[in-house]
Amino acid sequence: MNVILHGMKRALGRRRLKDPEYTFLFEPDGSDEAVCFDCETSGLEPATAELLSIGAVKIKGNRILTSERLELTIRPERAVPADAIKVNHLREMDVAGGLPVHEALDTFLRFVGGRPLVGYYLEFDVAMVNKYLRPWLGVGLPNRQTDVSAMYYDRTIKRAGAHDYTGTVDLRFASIMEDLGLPERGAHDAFNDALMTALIYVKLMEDARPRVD
Amino acid sequence: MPKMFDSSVPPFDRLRPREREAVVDALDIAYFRSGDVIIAADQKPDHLYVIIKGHAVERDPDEEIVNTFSAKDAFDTMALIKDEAPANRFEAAEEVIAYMLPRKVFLTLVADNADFERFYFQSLTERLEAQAQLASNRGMASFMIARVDEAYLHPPITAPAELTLREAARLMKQKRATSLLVTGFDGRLGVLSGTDIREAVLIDEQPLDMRIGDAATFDIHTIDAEDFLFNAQILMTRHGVKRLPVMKDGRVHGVLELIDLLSFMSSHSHLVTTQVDRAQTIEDLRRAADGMVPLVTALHGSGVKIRHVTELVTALNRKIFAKLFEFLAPPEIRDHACLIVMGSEGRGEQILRTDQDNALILRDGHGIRPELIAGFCGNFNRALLAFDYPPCKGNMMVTNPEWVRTVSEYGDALHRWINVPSEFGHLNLAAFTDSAYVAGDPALLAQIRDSLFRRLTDNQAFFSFFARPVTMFDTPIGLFHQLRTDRHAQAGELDIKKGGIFPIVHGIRAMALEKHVQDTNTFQRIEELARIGELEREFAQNLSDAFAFLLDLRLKGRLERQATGSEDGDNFIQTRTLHKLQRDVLKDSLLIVKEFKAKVSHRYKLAAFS
Repeated sequence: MNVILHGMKRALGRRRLKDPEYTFLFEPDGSDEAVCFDCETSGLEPATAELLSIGAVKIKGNRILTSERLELTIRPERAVPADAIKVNHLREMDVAGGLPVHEALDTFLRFVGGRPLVGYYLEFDVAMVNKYLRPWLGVGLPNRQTDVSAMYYDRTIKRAGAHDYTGTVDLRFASIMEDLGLPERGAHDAFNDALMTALIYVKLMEDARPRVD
Repeated sequence: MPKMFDSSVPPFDRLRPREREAVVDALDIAYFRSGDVIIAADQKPDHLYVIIKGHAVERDPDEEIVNTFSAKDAFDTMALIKDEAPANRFEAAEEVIAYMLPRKVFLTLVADNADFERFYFQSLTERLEAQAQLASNRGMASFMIARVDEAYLHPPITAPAELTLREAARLMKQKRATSLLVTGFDGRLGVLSGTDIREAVLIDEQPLDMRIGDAATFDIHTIDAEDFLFNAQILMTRHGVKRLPVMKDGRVHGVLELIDLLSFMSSHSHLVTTQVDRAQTIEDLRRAADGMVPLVTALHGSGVKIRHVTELVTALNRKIFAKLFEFLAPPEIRDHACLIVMGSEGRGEQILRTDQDNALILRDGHGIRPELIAGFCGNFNRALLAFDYPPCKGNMMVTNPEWVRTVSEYGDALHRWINVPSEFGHLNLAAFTDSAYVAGDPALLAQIRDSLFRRLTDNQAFFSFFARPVTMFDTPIGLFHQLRTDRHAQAGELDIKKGGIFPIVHGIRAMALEKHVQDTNTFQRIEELARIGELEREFAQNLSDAFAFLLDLRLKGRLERQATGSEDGDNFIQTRTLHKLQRDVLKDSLLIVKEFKAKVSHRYKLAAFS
């Protein structure tokens, strides 16, 4: 997103913020870090799906700070449909011990602070969070956002060069991991997915960084 | 917590559950591009790195690779334990993803968990032992890599060409010298030895007032004072001379006598050479040839570089072949034919007596009776068999009429082999590319090689086809840089020829053929290709080192097999009998082979075929 446009939106959001407790979301961030996050949900439609878990990890330069990570399980307000259980392996009994959604989001927001956000098809995850945030705080996540699938797409197109461009880039998560030669992902959960996404991000960022020789 | 962390890997398997948790909680993950420095030299590291994926190397201040690390390996434990900056640098040899365990957590584990601590101190001992071993190997080898000027050099005694033989003999007696350096009438440097005087006077019945300028040898070889003593020995062996003027700053610095060289390094090589030289019968020659295996074993055992071993073995083999030719060839054949060796013998990379790969080139219109030629070829082949040189499996021998032809017949054959691509034809071309002169008229071989180079100039299509086998066999390094060994063949053994030696030899051969490099030895070809800019200098050095290491491992395997009397699997090495240092260097060497294959593949556009 355009920097000026982003700045304007931020300024606008800040005025709309209902709870001054969360002004830190709009504070300039001096940590040099980014936060990669992923959500598990009970469906694929943000309007109807419920948030079941959030996994997040901080990134600093070429390092993924797994020592500072966030793994939150959320107690859903409605029953989880059976097909979502199959995907997430989050059964009702697993999420029953989870946090109320606002408590979880509070922890998440404090973890993220003013840092930029990174994710894979991040739009969906941000929409999921914003669905709860908007009625509560009057704003959605104001942080800058980077989608690794878009980064990967740009890189692939750039590498292929104009004449080899076929218009299709395989953006499936497993395909990207494989193409970048990253280790197999382990269990399919929010934190692990966030971690893998962070690996993709770090690799793409580092590869693009000029070498100092 | 990161699910990828495998706490079953030593030494983390020695941790108690709570300690494991503490480790996992403290881990970060870092990504390094190939070439990125992970721990700089002289920088106290704050973390222990445990590789998840990729390949890292440790380089000493001379840029030598001293250790390599792959998945699940950890470094630099010693720097953390000793709390000092490592003298070496750790860098990613290819993309590395690694866990970072904070120093404080690591040290707490070392302090609290005796098992964990012992793991490192055990390895430290092993490491020290390995280092001591290396040092002693170097110590053993040092007498072989001594410089020429470390041996006793006779002061140079120069005499003018006008001196008479009698005066020269007096001068030598007075100076207690065994030879004189003679400045020739044309200013060239020559050597006059006692033997020269004796032969001139007693055998050729020359007068005692003959001028030494007419009796001295002027076509002499010299050696630089900085050169290896071992090279002096090779030079003496190859040319059958007993002394070499030693040059320093372009001037004669002294004279190296064979006897002094031998007293400096009491190796067997001279004994074998002398035996070959003195052989009067084929039986004498056979006995000399028998001395080769103990010689190679001794040289290898004393840590002499493989390249020097092969050079010496080559010089000896050629001498034996030439002497046998001298014994067996009738005068017509000596005058009108050229005996050549091909394949590894031609490249000078034979380490023990392996297959006979030889051929005879006849002059066009030689007029020698076919029975005479066939008779000679049969005798030559039988004699070599009796010397334990096994026959060539591909039947590239003088007993095969395909390999006894005239210059123009070979020319026609070359034409066919080049223009009708077939595996057979390319095999023959490869053999010819590597051919070297043994005896007879060297001009005959030179003519054929010239025409081979000429025919192939700018024939890119030929080279893409010719170079293809370079990528035919997999180089056995897996994704995680664990050594991959052939699952179907001998378990735990690695085919070092297919995976490493062959791709280097053949790729370099193709480049040498393309660029008209006259050398046949792979090391020399690599050097020449680097000199003319076809290979980057640094890469050429790495490739040479990798090649030497692979040959060395193969020789080691063969000597071990010979000792146990086992015959099979000549090219297989037992990966589990290698210690870590060797395994690491092997991995490294194979990585370089892989890189080389990629370069060849790109150069000749081989990817288009597969």
